[in-house]
Formats: sequence, C-alpha cells, structure tokens
Amino acid sequence: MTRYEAVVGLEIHIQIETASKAFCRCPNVYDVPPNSAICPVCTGAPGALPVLNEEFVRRAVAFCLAVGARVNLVSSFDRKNYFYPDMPKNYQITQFFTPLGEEGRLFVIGVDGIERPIRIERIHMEEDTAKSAHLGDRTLLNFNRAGVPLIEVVSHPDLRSGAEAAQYFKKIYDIAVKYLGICRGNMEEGNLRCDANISVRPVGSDNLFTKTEVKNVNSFAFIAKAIDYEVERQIAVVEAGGTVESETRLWNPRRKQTETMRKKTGRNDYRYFNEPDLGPLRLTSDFVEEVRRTVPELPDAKRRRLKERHHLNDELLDLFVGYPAVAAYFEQAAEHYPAGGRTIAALVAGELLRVEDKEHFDAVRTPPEHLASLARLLDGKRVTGPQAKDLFALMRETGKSPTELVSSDARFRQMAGDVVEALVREVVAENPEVVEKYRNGKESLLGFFVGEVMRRAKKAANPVEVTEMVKKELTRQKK
Amino acid sequence: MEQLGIAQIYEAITARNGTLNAYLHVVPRERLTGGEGPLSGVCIGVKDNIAVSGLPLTCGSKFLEHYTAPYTATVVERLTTAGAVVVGKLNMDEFAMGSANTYSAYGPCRNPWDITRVPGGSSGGSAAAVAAKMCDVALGSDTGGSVRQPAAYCGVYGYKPTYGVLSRYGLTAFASSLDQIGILARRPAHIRTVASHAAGFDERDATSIVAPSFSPTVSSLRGMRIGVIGEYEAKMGNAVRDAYERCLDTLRSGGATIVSLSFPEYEQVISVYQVVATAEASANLARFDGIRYTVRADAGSFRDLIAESRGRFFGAEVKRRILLGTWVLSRDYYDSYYLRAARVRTVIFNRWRRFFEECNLVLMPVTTDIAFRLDEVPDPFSLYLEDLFTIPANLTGMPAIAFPASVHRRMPIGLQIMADRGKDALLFDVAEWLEEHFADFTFIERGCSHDAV
Repeated sequence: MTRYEAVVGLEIHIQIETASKAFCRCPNVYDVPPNSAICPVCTGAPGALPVLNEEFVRRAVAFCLAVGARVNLVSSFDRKNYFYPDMPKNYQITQFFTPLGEEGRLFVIGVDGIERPIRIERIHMEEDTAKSAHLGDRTLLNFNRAGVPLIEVVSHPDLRSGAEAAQYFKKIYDIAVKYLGICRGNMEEGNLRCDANISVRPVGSDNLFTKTEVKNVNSFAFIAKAIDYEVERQIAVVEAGGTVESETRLWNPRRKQTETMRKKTGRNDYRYFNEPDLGPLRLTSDFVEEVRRTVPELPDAKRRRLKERHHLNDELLDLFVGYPAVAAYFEQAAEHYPAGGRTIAALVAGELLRVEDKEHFDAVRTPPEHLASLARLLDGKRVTGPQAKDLFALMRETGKSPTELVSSDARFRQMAGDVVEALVREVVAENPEVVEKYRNGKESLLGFFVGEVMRRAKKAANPVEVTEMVKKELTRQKK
Repeated sequence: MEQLGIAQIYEAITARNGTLNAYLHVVPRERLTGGEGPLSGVCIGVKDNIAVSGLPLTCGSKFLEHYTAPYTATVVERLTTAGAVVVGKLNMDEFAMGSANTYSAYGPCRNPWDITRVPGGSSGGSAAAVAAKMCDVALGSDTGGSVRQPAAYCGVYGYKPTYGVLSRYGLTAFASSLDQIGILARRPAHIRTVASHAAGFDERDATSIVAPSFSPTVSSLRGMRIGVIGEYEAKMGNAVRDAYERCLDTLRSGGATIVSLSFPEYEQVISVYQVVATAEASANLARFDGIRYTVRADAGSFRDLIAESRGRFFGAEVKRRILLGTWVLSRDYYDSYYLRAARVRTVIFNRWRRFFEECNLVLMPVTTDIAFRLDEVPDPFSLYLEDLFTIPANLTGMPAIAFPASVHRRMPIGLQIMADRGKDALLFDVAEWLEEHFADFTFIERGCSHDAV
C-alpha cells in the first residue's frame, strides 16, 4: 500500500507595530472609533501619494535578519491589482518582483525527533486592507486598518505535519512578538494571520500534487488540527481514486473539519508592475548593520547556549526560550552565582513564576542577586527547601536579602545535627507499634517518621538528612 | 508680477465662459480669499484634476460629479501661501485622457481664437482661460503633452517641468511615472515666477526632487548649441515648418549654433507611451468603483456594483485606455508589451541624454498644424499619433516649454524647446529671449481681440 506524506507551506502575515502607518502619517492604532485614523492617502483619495515609513523598513529588516534571511539592498515596490471592497485603491502596494528578504530558515523538531531546517522563501513588505463589517444587508467599511504595515513570510513547502507547522508558526510568533517586539501579537485582532498551502504525495515522490489553501489557521489551538485534518482528507480522496480539487478552504472549529470556501477557477492574474509612486527601495549596508546590532539573540541560539552553559532540562529550556524576559532575569541571577544555574532555574520556575506573570514578566520586587543568594543558601544546605519557600516570601515582603534574613530571623536558625538526631530517636522510641509495622515490610511508613520529626523541628531541619537519620535509626534498632 | 486684476478677470469670465466652457466651476467673487505675499493678487485657474480643498474635483468625469476635494494639492497650497488666489476649476478631457478637450463629461471647451475650433487637450480649459484672460496663470497637467499642445493651440506658454520639480501630491494620477503638473501663462516670466514658488521637495511625494534654481543663467544665445531632429521635418505641416525655420533663423542670428540630431526611435515613442501610460492608468483609475466618491450604480453583488458603475460613469476614451492597460499588464502579455515598452523607454532616455551631451536645447514642433475644428476631431487612433513631438519629454522626465511662434489663418502656432533634466531655468531664459526677439509676437494681443467671434 502506498504511504503518503504531507507537503505544507505557510504564508504568515504579521502586522508591524509602528507609530504611523506604512505609507502615511496616520497613527497605527486599533482601539479608536471606526474611521478616525484615516487620511487621503490610506483611503485612496484621488491625488494622494504613498511615502514609505522608515521605521517599518527598520523592523522588517530586523525580522529578515532574525530568521537568517538575506536582505536585498535593492528591493521593489509593486502594485497588485484586484478589486475588493476593502481595498481603497483596488490595488495593494506590495513587493512582488524583488522582496526585501530571501532565503531564511528556522528549525523545527520533526516527527522523528530530529531537528530539521524549514526554509523561508521570501519576506516582503505590504499594506493591510480596510476591514468590512456586515450589518444586515449593508456592508460597513472601517479604514483604520487600511495602510497598516504588514510583512508576509512565505515558507517553502518543507513542513511535513500539523505539529511541525504549529512549531514553525510559534517560532515566528515568538520572534516577532517576544524577541523583536515588532508585533502586538493579538491573534483575535488579526495581528498575525496564517494561511496554509497543503498537498499530499506518495512518500519518496518529488512531484507536487494539487494543493488546497486553508485560510486563517491563525491559532495555536487549531493550526495543527486543521492541517492534519486536511492532510487526512486529501489522502482519503486520493486513496478512493479521486483527485484533490484546487480550492480555498476554511477550518470550522465547531465541526472540527475544513470546509470549502471557494473553488479556484482559472488563474488569478494580479497584473503586477512596479509602483511608480515609490520607486525601488535602496538600503545601504550600513543601515542593515545598524539594524543587525539591535537584533537580540534568537530562540535557537538561546536554547543551545543555555543548555551548554547551565545543563538545564528541556522543560526549563522551553520556558526560557518561550519567555525571553524570564530568561534575561535568570541569566542576571546566574551571573551572581555562576555554578548555581540549575538551582536558580528551579527557583525561577517553582517560586518566582508562582507570583509573577510570565506573559508580562517584571520581577522588580525580587532582585536577581537575592534569588542567586537564596540558591546559594539552598545548595550549601544552609536552609531547607521549606525554609527557602518562606524565605522567598519574606524577601519579597521586606525587600531584604536572604542572607540578611537568615542571620536575623530566628525561624531560619538551623538545628544542630545532634539535636535533630535526638528528635529522631525520640520519635522512634515513642511509636513502637509503627516501628513494628515498618519492620514487617510497610516501608511507606518511613514518611510518617520523617514528617513527625520535621514537625517537631519546626522546619529547621533538612528533610533529606532527616530521612537518612530515620532509616539509620530504624536499622540500628533492628540489630 | 504684473496681473490683470480680479475685476477684469471676472468680467472676462462673465463675458466669455458661457461660450468657451473653460471653467467648470468658478469661485464666487465674494468668496475669494486673497493672501499677502509675493504672488498677492495673482489669479490662478486650476485644472479640475488638481485638488483644492472644498472645491469640486470632477477630473472631467461623471464619476466625480458630486465629489469635493478633502484636501489641497501641495502646488496649490504653496501658491496660495505666497498670496495667489484660486479663481476656479478648469475643463479638461476626462481624467486627462485626450488631445482636444472633447472627452470632457461636461461638454467641450472652445478655442478663444475661434470657437469652432478645439483648444487642445487635455488641459484645454487651462489654455483657453489663459488665452482669454480669464486668469493670470493656469495650472494644467502634462502626461504626454497635455499642457504644451493646448498652449500651442491657444497661443500661450505652457511649461512641463523636469519630473519631480512640481509635487504631484493632489494631482489625480493618470500615469504616475509620466504625470507632471504644468504651468500656462501669457508670458514666460510669469511661469518662471510661479514655478519658483510652487517647486521644491515635498515630503508627501516620494518622487519629488529638490528643485533646481530658476534664476536666469544666460542673457544671450552666444555659444549656445541648439539641436534639431531630422526625422521630425517630414512630419510637420507647412505652416508649422515655416514657423520652425524662421525660429531657427532667429536663434542662429542670436549667436546659437544649430546641431543636427538623429532620433531613430522617434516613432516608437507613441507605442511606448501608449503601453506605459495605459498600464499605469488601469491601476490608477481602479479606485473609481462606485463604492466611494459619490456615484454608484444599483446592483446586487459588489462585483456587479463595480462593473455597472464603471460601465456607466466612465467615458468611452477612458474605458478604451483602461482596457488596453489591463491587457498589456496581463500575465500572458506582460513581457511582450509592458516589459518591452519599459526597456525601449530606457533606450529613448539614453538617446536623449546623449543629445544633451551635444547640445543645450532641442527645438521641436508641438503639433503638426493649427488647432482642428470641433466638427473635424480625428478618430482616437489618429489623435494618439498627434502626440509624437510632445511624448519624449514625458518618457525622459525632461523639461520642455511650448511658446507662441506664429499665426496662420488667424490661428496660433506654437513650438517647444526641451532641455536636460534640471535645466528648467535655461528654458525660461531662451523663451524670454524669443519673446523679445522672435518676430510676430504681438499676436497674443490680437488673439484677445477675437472675443467677438
């Protein structure tokens, strides 16, 4: 029986956050009354002309560099002609003949667990359209969105599953929203929009079969499901001896399936030609280098470095790669205690993120050097785990450093070893029947002794050490 | 700058606009807002494809019948800031497509010299208003000769600047890479003055340039080299050739050297122009869809609405050019038409660059003959061929000025001089020299005495 593989490419539109729109001085805002951020240029009034926003270029270039794309020093602006009610000029200014960026790539972990590059074919700048709303039999147009800067990121058809596509999309999201901060990242508002081109072919074949386009799979929740559904559907069509029809489909999240939106009849002809109102975009290599200096370390590099430097597990690496601000905090703390990376990371994940929102991370109430000191006290067994929890809370409450708190607060006095040992003997001696049961094989009762000792020690003992002592005592008595 | 005065201008408008149909809209005299400044009191008429906030902007089309411009073009804004007064909006061929002003949806404009004849186009209203003293200066637009040809037909000066000298912000686009706002006046010095106030880099137009100086550069023709293109001689009618040769004699006697040039691509300019201009126009005019801009055909789906509206509110010539432009850009014909035209345009540009290594100016005809009669307007294709002499300045972005040269059968004949990019001031220098030295000049005054015709 023939086995099939999925061939998937994504086209991702990213709204770029700038002060003004792509080609006019209107504010690039979304939370204002309809048609209040518009002008002759973005409404396409006769005689109005586009002028390119430099900050838009800067941010688009930063994105190109972040995904390792080549930045063309000369790129073209072109008109894409088609009639649509939400298109003010009935052409869109885009970059068709020569895009700003080409040949980028990002890595995903494939189904086989192996990291694979996904090639990015092109990254180009363009303008968003107006937004239409339907009110009964009327259509209302809001031009606030018209002219909002967009970049479109087109991948090669290198993705082989919904899961890979979801990873790739998430990575693009993280880079644009969290690393570069060039996109607000609100999916409901359409800040990032994703269309998938999907086809299937027999494994081993190099041919590309008829593809369908699934529109608006811009949700982390359903991008993988939508693609996997569509792949299965196409395989079923082919195996039943049918042919996949070229069409645009939509994911119906309620019925969990893709559905026909429109058939693609004939070829679209957008009659592209160079935009005479703008001319080619010419960048100097100095400009590109200047932008490069503003691009931070990116997810793939960050993961590799943190893993090597601090030997963190995948869960912690995912956390830090997904939340660069949290990672930055972690690294600041680690500078104060370079050997304590794993303990610091555990404290960040286990304590700090219990009280701080990783989405809007801002840990001003816990200076990183304090967290580093806390890790040092833990590693040096100066405080116990439960004590560390209390200490953490107290640190935040008082703003004092943990070393200061430990020396001044009686609660963090640690019992001397012989005192703890005396407690252990006491507890064992007082519970002969439990000791009896334990010796008869009920080893889970070990916890009873440890818990009782800890309670009497009022947390001023190390539970690991107490466990060892209890075991030793029980063994000793047996002899 | 000398001026006619508001009273005299409104008298002329009252007396003659009913017949000539030069103005589509006249600002009521009591609403004129005269400013202070170097152009104080200068009355300008504005072609109706240039936006003036609060005034109509019909572009000669039914599509914009009830449309009011929501903002003011940079060029108009600069002139009014300098004190000039906008008197009204001038008739034109629909969306500046035409050579006789007969494609206006608001009726043809007539030539003040002979109302049975056309004023030329597409800036027919601009040329007629200047010739009939219904304004001091008029703004027009020149995409393939639309300022210079009507200037020649109406016996006035018509200037097409170096591309980028006058901001296009506010000029309804026909063919963006060719369009320039132009200035028409009865004296070249007026154009120089007005241009110097209107020109300059505009941050709202990415194709605008830092304007060259308009100050006089030469006071005599001694040492000047003036080019003539051999291929053009066979294309001129007798009356035009006669004026052309007398003009050459005058230039020679002033000390200029005449240089012969060969322009093998002289006929290709028409094909290149038709492809480039219609292609750009097909996109520029796509925004007129019945959804905005005040008029709409009743229809069900939005596709029907667009098709119906465009079918009903565009005139035949505009539709013809949109269809042609859509065709040359379509996927299967892009390479053989649009791309090839763009390449030949580069060849033509390089040819003219070399011309200006050999000479300072080129003297050229503007038209083959005097203005034709309204009832003898040629068919569209023959009209396209009439642009032979004016298109090179648009394809190359180089400046040119048409000037009155002669009178034949009581109708004016114009010629033009063209210069390299940025040499606009030299055009004014030589036009002013010709105004002083070239024979047969007083006809402008005679022209205005034809009021009774």
